[in-house]
Amino acid sequence: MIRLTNITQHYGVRPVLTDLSLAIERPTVTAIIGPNGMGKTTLLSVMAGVLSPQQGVVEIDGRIRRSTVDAELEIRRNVVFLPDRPWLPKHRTGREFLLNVGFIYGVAADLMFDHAGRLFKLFSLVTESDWPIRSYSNGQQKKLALASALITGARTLIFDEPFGGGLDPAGILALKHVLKRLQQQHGYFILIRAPAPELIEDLADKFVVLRQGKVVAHESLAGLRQMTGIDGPLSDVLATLTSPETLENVENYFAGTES
Amino acid sequence: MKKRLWFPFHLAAQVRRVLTRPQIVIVAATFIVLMEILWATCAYFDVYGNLPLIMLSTRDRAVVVLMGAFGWFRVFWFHPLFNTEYRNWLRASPWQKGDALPLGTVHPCVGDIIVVAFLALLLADPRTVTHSDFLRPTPLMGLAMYAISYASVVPATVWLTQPRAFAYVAFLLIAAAMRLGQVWAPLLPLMLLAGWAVACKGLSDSWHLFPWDETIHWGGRIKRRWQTMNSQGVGLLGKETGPDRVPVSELGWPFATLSPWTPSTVIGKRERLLMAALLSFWLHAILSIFSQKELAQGGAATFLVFVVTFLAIGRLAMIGGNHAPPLNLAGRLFLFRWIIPGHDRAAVPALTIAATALGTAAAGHFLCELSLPVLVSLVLMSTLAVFILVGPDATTWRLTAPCRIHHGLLNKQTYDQLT
Repeated sequence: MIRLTNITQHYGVRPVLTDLSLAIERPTVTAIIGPNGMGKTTLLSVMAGVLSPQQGVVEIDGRIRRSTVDAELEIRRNVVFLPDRPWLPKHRTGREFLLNVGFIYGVAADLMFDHAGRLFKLFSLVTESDWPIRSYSNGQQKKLALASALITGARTLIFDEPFGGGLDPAGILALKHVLKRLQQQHGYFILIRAPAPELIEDLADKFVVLRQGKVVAHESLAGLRQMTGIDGPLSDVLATLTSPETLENVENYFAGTES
Repeated sequence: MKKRLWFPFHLAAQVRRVLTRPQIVIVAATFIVLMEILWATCAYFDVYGNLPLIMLSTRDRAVVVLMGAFGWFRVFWFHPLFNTEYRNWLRASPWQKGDALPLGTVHPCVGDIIVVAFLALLLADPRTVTHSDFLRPTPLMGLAMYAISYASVVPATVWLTQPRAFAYVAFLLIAAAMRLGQVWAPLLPLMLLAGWAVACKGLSDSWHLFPWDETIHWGGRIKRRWQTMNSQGVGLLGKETGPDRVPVSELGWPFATLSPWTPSTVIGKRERLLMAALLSFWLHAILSIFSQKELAQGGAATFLVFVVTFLAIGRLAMIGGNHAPPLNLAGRLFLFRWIIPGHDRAAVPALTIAATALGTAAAGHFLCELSLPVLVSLVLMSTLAVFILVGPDATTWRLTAPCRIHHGLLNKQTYDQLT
């Protein structure tokens, strides 16, 4: 379980998260959604330990983040964070990178070699596996970064825009199926930030909707529909929840043109 | 039946065992002969005033340096610790503990005695006794130079290959020889010999631990350095895991900074304090030799300023690194959170180091009127103690400090260029 209690996070003088409390049960695929600039990445960064909030506590599986060396190490072993734009060592080969990431997470060597091979196959990178990363396209680098998160064996995955960064349809399809099966069959706990609702509609069990640095809703799709009274796709539900003025703005835009 | 060599050839063979490169002998011999020819020519024609004497003095100083270098060479060239390929080959070969080393022994042998005796004889040249200036080279000085250089490198190898108690005792005895030798001259050779004996005993013991546990390190930085060297296949002491091992710092964002990897530190705080005390005693012993010179005073002051600054900044950098304050300057100012105790304690060790150095120096000079060697070594010891004891270590800071973790480099472009 990830529990956030009274989290407040400022960037300089600009508050991004204000007294935010949230408890996410495992195992689920939870999507963090909301308009731009509302604190989605900040929230993920706080959970991932990249940011230490000015106020509040982050608790993961009963351990408080950055409280003691042992607690933090245990959390780091079990939680892997993948930012939207990870930096990869360009002069290393994909295989070297994957194996070394596995090594620092203490994955047994025989399992790691086998897993790396399967990951390259999953993301159609078998040919490129022994090429230097600099020769990978953007999409291939994104796939490698996703593979690096999966090879760690960490049971909690925090992904910031995993479907972006030039990932091709095959990659998106593979990733969606892998994440779903990891959650359903292996009890993984997956947190995702994705800007496009249609990408996560059929993947996420729960949705955390953020607006103005606060949690507007933390519900399943059915719960969100019930909240809004809209029985349509997730995008319509979200539009109502987070930006009800969108359609009105469109009307105003064209009204201005016509007049 | 083993064939015995005729006496001169036997000696030559012994010398060849310790001077494996004929080039070294040729260069040294050419230098000495050239000096002799020049001196003889000038002396014969009675020209150039004091020039011949200066030439001899230069030669003698070069010989003293040579004797010191020879002590180092004997260890660095023959010890498998400093040669990865040799060490790996030794590990894979039928060589056993107690056998002679295939490329020659590190222990002192007959060849050493011949080489050192020859060089010492050069220093006993009666023509040079007429001049007297600061630190005039003598055979005893040459011998001491050789003994100190050899006996200070051997404990270092002993330390790196685990039987560290021998290394500490040897270091202590050598420094004591330098210091106490000034009080009563016979103590110099006696203590040097004792230091030598302890170092050689440690050396023998270290072979019994071969292959050595090569994971001794101070913390992240040296470990990373060794890993880098290993990844390039030129490892000095790191685990030889082959060229596939990438230093953690090179794994990019986020793995370089957010992974659970932590460097394991073998050397505890007590042992670090012991090493700090030894280092300070060494500095004291060396400064005692020069204590009457003004040069030493200026040099010691500069050295202290440099070391204290380096320690203070180093301590700050050690825990600062890629961990920024949770609020930037504007945030602090406008939110009236000028001090963030959880984060700003990072500055405490650096400030304490500076304050301790100043306080110790002032108290020692004005209140206790300590001599320069005592004062300088005391300042060094106190600042090193603060460096070791005050504030969180790098791992604790990395894992528990209330910080914003950033990439540790200026930006992605820089990172890409670096990697």
